[in-house]
Amino acid sequence: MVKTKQPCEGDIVAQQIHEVIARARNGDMQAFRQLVDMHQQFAYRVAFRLLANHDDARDVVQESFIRVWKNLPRFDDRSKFTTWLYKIVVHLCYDDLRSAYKRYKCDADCRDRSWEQLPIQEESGDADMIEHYRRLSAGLKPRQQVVFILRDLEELELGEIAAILKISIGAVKSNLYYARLNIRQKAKEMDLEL
Amino acid sequence: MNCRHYRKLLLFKAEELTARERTLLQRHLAACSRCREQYRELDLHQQWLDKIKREQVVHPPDNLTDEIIRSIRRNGRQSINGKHSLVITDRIFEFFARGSVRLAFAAVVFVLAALFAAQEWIVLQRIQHLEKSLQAQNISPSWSALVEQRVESMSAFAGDQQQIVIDREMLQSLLAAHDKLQMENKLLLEIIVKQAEKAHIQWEDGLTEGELKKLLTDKNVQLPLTEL
Repeated sequence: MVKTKQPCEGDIVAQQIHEVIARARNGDMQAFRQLVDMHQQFAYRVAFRLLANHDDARDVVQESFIRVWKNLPRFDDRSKFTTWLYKIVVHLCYDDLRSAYKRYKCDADCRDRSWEQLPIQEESGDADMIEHYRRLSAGLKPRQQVVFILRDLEELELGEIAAILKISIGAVKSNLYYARLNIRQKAKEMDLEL
Repeated sequence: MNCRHYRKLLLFKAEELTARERTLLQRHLAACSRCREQYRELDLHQQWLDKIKREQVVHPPDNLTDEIIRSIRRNGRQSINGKHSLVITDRIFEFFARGSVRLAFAAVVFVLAALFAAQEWIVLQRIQHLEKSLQAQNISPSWSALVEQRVESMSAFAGDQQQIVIDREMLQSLLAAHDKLQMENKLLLEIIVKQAEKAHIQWEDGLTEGELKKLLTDKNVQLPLTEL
């Protein structure tokens, strides 16, 4: 007796996404709207986690989907749409991350890191958490920051991160190691109660 | 391997390590209390991250999808392969935005204008030719015949869309009053026809000279009507 493989939920969702993409690719705006609705939450979350700013995150997500629309005909059906979208979002965030890193280095060189010593507001909720994270990740190199967020917050596989950043898995692990080490050290320096 | 090396491994999750690394690390942790302490600290760190993931629910703005669609409507026309457009008006806009299409469109307009001008010129040439041939035969030009020819030419151009219905008898009577019409008068007639065409005047049967003058005046057609 031949057993046929039952499609799992993930396969069905992937199939639906590919159908929506196929329609959007032919200029169907409703299908594209559906695609945006399905993925804007996660695109925005990634952008916000990288940039820690709602306005910047909104701009990045907007630009990301414009690029998706323009390049949809080039999208390879065999690849995962979310990986492609991650790639676009991360790429667009890179400039801001580089600028932030340069500012941080400049402040560090000028011995002006007083902002790190400011007391963290005793507020509960997102703002507090974001502020904690912003301070801890401030000294990370852009690539380390991206790897850390994609792995530890977005929980992507190492292979997928390597595909997004076009680097080897070894390089992903190396960046991840230094990111985690730096964040831990910074947490100790700042005496943050994690 | 020493503690320093194992503490590096501690920064990785179990699934990020090889089976051999996992086994060695487990054995070391069972034997080394300082590394176990480090491991517990890292576990707290992991709990903090889990808390971020759990509590940091990031909501995009409510109107983000609409903003994206609007942006695409504004900017998305510059589609890379030209395949993507939104609605038919966008497609038309995109089509005419192309340089080659604009050039072709301008060329078509130019050719049509040239054809129209050529046809007009041919009509004038025919009138002049007829006039000359009549003069050659020492026959006084019959302006009625010229007008008739002109009317036929105009009807041929206008086809079913013609705006002007010219009563030939009326024109003949008009022209009969000017049996000594000179060339300038003939051009005047041309002007009347063209101006009437612009003003969408329909010349009805039985329209008298006075009525024609009044009609043209009412329509603000600037003509030296006194010459008529």
